[in-house]
Amino acid sequence: MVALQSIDDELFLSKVSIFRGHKLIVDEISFRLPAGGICLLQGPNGAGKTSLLRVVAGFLPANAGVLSLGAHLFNPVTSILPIWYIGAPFGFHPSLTAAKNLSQIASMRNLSLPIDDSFHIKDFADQPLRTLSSGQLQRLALSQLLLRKDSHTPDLWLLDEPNSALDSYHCLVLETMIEKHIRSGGRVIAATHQPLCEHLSPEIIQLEAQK
Amino acid sequence: MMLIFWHYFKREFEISISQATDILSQIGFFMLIMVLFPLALGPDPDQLKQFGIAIIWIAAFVSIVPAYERLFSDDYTHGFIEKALHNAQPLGCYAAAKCFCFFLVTTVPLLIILPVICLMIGINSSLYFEIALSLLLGMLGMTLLGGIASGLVLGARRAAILGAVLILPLSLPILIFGTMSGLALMESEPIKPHLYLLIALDLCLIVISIPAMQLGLKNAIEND
Amino acid sequence: MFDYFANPTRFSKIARLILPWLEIISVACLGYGLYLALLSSPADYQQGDAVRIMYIHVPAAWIALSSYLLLGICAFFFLIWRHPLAEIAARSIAPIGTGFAVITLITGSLWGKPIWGVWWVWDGRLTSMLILFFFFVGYLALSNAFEQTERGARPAAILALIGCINLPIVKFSVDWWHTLHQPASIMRSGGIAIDSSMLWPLFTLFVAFHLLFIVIVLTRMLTVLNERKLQSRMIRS
Repeated sequence: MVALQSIDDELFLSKVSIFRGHKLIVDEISFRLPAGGICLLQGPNGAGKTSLLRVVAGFLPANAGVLSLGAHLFNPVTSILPIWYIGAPFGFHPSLTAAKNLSQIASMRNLSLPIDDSFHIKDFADQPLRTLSSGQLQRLALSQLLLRKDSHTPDLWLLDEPNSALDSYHCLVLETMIEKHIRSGGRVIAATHQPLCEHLSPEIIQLEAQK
Repeated sequence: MMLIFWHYFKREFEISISQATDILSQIGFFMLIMVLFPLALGPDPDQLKQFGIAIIWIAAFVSIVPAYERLFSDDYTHGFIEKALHNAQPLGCYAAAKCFCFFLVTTVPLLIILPVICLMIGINSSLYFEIALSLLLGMLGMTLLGGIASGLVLGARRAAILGAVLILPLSLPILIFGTMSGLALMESEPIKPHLYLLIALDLCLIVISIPAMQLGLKNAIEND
Repeated sequence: MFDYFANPTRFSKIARLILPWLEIISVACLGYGLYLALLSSPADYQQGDAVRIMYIHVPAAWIALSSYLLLGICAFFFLIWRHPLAEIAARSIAPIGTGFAVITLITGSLWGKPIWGVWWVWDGRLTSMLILFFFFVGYLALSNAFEQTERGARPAAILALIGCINLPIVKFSVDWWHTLHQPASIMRSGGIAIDSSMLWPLFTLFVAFHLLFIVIVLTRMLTVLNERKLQSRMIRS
């Protein structure tokens, strides 16, 4: 009898190391992320924040170390835990409109379009993507997280510099959204240089630039 | 699976429509190559008729091969392939949808102008459907090869030329069986065996190309 | 057993041990074979001395073909088990296979001129060898097309594997194309009744070329291994 993997188990990164070419980028980082947890990756440029996020997202293989969910190995691509990776490049096609891009993502992940337009996508919904500013692009990317699904599964959000291009109003929107997500049992790992959700007292992982 | 395939296909189709000039320039390129042959070979109708089908095949190949490089490179630079990785379906599904759409939007316009081409080089228009069918089968195989090459060259230097160097040697059986079918047609011999061989090639390529594209794309993401 | 020899340190130890012996044997074999082929064997009654090209041409063609096969096998091992040694082997085999394909094409053309009167004939065999050469070129181009050399290893391995699957299909289609285009056979390179006086030098050179191939591949593999060792040492310090 195999113990079933529960979606609420703790996500655990154990001594994860990442090489790019011959260069060590991330050296034996470990942390735990329970359901409803938030974790901020901080550190100077080149410290491997994005690489670590991409390992958790399943884009990169970890060169050493283990990712596990509860008592099982965690394979991001096949896991029961749905993952949203929001980081540039966002995966939109520049010659389609913002609304079209969003509805394509929604249909591919079998979700329905959001009712609340917290990030004010309507302002530029019918513009081709290549005409948008970087802040607008970021708002569009973040509003993917508002796509609704039928059943409630607490997703894992991997946010790479989510508030780097946002104005102060939309930064607040982002923080409220993250807070709501966490309260309902979701998890967030964010790489950021700016303060994010300090009132939630997130766990801070300090990454060092490797020589 | 089919649903996701359909969604991917729809997305591709919408993108292709929004970039319709690409398709037009593709066809223009094909027409131009077709014009080059009579200019080089001389206007003798008998000779043109004799080489006609071979010329059509070569023009179709040469005009399409440079385009394959862009099959996955746009989605790669825009980060869409990574998104597809999280969509619970294997990447092969995405790659197959992409190739299928590419095949349709490049081959259908080709077949639409094919009667004009046949007229120009003096091929009897009653043979149109046979030629179109063999070209359809040949281009399907070419697209799958193009998909493999495009997946492999992601992130490489001078990817377009490299892609052509990879595709053309692999595409020889398609060219041979395709032009053979044309030859058989001109000599009013049965064309079916050639078409069956083309179908067999296509089926083989479907089996090979989907895992190959999946591997290639996954590798490209991992080294991004 | 495979795992035992696939350990890079053990591999280089063994390779270094047997390499000098292999070198000696292959040079001796090559010398003896060349003596037999060029001096002691009789000239063909039809082709004259031109037949001696065969002694280089046939073993080279054989090695070109089998090295692509070997390339595919290495690629397979590399893709499935991600074994670094298989990748190094593939990287070392490819240029040598290309070299032998070029030798085959050049000697074939040199042989063709006195016998058929032309440098090149669109014969099934020649065309297949030319395409094999292009397969090698594609592999080399792809494996060296990336900023980091390691990045090209997996795409190139996939290509080699696909090439191996496609090679019989290409061969078959070219043969078929050839038979339809040229029903009358101009040439009969296979039609030479091989006498034992010709078979023996051919066989010796056959063995010599294989040994030479192994020697070059092993040397290249050792070089790449040393290079990587040096690289990692430089990074550590």
